[in-house]
Amino acid sequence: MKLSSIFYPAKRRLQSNFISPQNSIPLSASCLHQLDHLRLSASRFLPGRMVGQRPSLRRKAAVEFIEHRKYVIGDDIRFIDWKASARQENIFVRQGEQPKDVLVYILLDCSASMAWGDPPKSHLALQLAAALSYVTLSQGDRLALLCSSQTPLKLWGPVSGKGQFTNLVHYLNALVFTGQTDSRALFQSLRRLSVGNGLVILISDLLGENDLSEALAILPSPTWDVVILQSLHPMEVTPPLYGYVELQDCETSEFASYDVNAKAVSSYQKKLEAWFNQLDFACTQNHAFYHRVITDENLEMKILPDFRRLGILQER
Amino acid sequence: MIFANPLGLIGLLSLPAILALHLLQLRNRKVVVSSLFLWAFLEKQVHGARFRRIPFNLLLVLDLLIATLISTALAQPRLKLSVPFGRSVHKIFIIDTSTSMMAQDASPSRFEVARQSILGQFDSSRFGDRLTVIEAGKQARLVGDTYLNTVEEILEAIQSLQAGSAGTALREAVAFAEALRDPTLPYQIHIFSDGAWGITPLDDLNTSNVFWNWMGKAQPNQAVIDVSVVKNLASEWEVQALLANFDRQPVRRLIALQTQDQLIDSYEVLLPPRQVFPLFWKFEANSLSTVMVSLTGNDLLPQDDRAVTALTSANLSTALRVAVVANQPKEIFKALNSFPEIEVETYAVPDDLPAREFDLVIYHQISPRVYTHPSILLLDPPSMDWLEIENQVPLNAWVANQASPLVENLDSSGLRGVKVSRISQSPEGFQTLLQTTDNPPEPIYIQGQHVGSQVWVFLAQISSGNFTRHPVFVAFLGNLIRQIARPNFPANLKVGDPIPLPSFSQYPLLKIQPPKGEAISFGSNRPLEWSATHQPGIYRFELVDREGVGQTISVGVNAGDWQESNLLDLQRNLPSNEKQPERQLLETQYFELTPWLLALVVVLFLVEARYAWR
Repeated sequence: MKLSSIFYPAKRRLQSNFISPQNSIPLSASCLHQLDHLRLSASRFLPGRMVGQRPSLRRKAAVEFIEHRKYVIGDDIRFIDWKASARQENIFVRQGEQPKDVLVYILLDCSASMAWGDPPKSHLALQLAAALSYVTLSQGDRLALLCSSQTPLKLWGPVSGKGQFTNLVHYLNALVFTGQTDSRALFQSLRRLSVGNGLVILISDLLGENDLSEALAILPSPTWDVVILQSLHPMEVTPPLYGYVELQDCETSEFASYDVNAKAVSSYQKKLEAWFNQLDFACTQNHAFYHRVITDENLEMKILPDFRRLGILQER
Repeated sequence: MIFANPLGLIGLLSLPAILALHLLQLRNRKVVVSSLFLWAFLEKQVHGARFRRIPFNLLLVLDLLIATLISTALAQPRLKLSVPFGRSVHKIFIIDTSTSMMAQDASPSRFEVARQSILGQFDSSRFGDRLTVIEAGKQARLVGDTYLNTVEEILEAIQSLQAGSAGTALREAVAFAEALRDPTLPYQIHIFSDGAWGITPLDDLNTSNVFWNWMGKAQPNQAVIDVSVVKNLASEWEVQALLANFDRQPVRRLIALQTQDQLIDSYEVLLPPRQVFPLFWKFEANSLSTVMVSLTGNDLLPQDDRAVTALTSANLSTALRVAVVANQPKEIFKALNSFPEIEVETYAVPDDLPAREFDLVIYHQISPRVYTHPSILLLDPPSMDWLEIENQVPLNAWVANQASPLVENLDSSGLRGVKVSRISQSPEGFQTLLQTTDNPPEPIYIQGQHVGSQVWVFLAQISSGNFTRHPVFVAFLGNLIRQIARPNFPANLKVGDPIPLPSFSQYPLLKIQPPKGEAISFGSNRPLEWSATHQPGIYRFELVDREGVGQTISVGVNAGDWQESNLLDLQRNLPSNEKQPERQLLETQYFELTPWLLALVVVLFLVEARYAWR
């Protein structure tokens, strides 16, 4: 059975704008085709438990030659390079690379603020999660999902193989966005539920996140490789509000009245920029990668090329 | 800026409504945001404080601006612009030809300077300009108009203008100019005058189209403004003269009284300032034809330094003699008696008419035997060898065939039952004055020469209908009486005043000798009055009647006048040419702003739409 025939139904369903009762994840066929040639970048120091398709620092005696090593007692004599040993005074064994896999954790912020906007921020977040999951599964890595809205928090996976993508789509479509954002609790839950270290991708708006550095300290480098993808709506970057407005928080339902004028909007944007810098600094300090996406950006035309340019994704 | 429809400004009442709507919208504006986390740095407003000031955001400003522009556009505003005129223009020049313009404080005279200024304006006029010249003398008169005359004709008429008239008909001249102005062109009225108008207020003439050009300055002057001569019971001649000193200082001048052939008196007199000073003389003389009082020495207006009066004009003031030959002369006699100084005699048959001369003989339904009298009126004549009557037709109405004093004020309305004798053809050399309105018209009133007499033939039957009871009958006879009446020459008059001339039928030969220049002779083609009396002095009229008897009549024409001689108190409260700035010829244009305002409204709508739907 060909792999393409296994994944065809999922691809077919995505292409035909499969709509679940909760969410919809429109990933076009061309987008999936583009993702087939990409893989997630991950640190070489991440441990891999199974044989995968990623190069690793581990070596083993193998016919596929990488380098020589002196023979030690116990080595399989079938991999002694007799020709090289004849030219030297020592006996050398032929060594090859042992490929590994990476455990990829995708943490999805399912707070109520992610469902805000038109289209909601969750739309792009689900697209990102599906796309990155597809890349993970298609390159033979293991995938696990953790969504913040579930109580109690429960890890979906780990799974591997493209055949799991259909289940993943069903899982994503059924997600409900409610509650508040708390990345620290999410990281702590991951640490508790994790089956091993790996690449962690957090998709969140990070609203209300005052001390991201404290949360990142839970997943220290190099045993954890953390990527923060902040999803924001354009109206959050440039609020189109003027005059006296009464604002209501969609997560807490709290009210606050403000007099918004041009000067206040300008000050708002300055403060927002400072907050972005603060998040970037926290990620840099904790060897994590930080990137911000705006929900009006096209996934196929803008976001994926940006990921390739920034090194989040790379060609296989 | 003016508004063609000011009611459109009612739309401005929408401005408070728009403001209220914005406040109302602001009051109910609740916005759900993803998180208040991002807004935490802004200062929260106390609940209810949002009405402390009006929220002037861009949308509100745009709404107010759009409402204002629409309201203004509904009012149809027009911008009144005065732009430099580039097209042709109608320039009307009014030149003052009164006696004061003869003052010599400008070289050679005020009038000459004004004339040269107008000629200069003709030289500097552009192609397409319309130029009109009006004379403001005793009466306003059109000198020339490029619409009616050639430029050469107008220049010649300007050159022939002469100053010298008592009074300036400036108001009439300006009204004349306003009536003549071309409505399709902007116009300017240039007035060339010295301001010697007495106390006539002319402030209302100072409109934006009137340009004043003052000639000369206020100057002192002395004048003899009147002289009269009477003969008292002791057969002495009494002369009274009025001398005027228009100066702030008393002036000594030498006064002289002289007759036509000798100097009677001469002495130095001290004229008080700003006063009129009477002088009297009494002397004996056998025959006296002219008396002249003069001031010797020179001032700026020498024309008014003497006044002359003549004493021979009363010789001709005798009654007009009229004979009526008719079977029933009662109605004619009654109408003629309504005129003063007429001697009327009635005769039943022509043979009874005496041989002595009558000024006018009226035949009613009778043909004359002889034509020895100078003027003959034939009323409803029978057929004669030179005038054949065909039949009678009823008269509906008549109309004047040519302009003549004989047919002035002859209105046929109200005439009933009047018949007209129809002639086969008009006699040779006769002109038709009145004719019926029928088609073809029938002559009613004709005039011409027949056997040495001036003959008028009235073909309407005056005994029919209500003709003799109608006012037109008296008017008809009055016109004829005035035509043949003898002239009554005045003893003296002011410069510019016309002198009536005697008719050709009474005095076939007439010769006028003005104070300066050549004598002018007139035959049958003469004007009714002689108006070329601009030069002060004695005008002599030599008359020869039908019998060949000649006589000479003198008329004194004087320039001295209360207004014209007063060169000191000039009425120049109007802007003078020295202080008057050079006014550029401007044209008033109205610029419609409505389409531009509406276009601006559309642009603002687009801006608002882009801003609101962003």
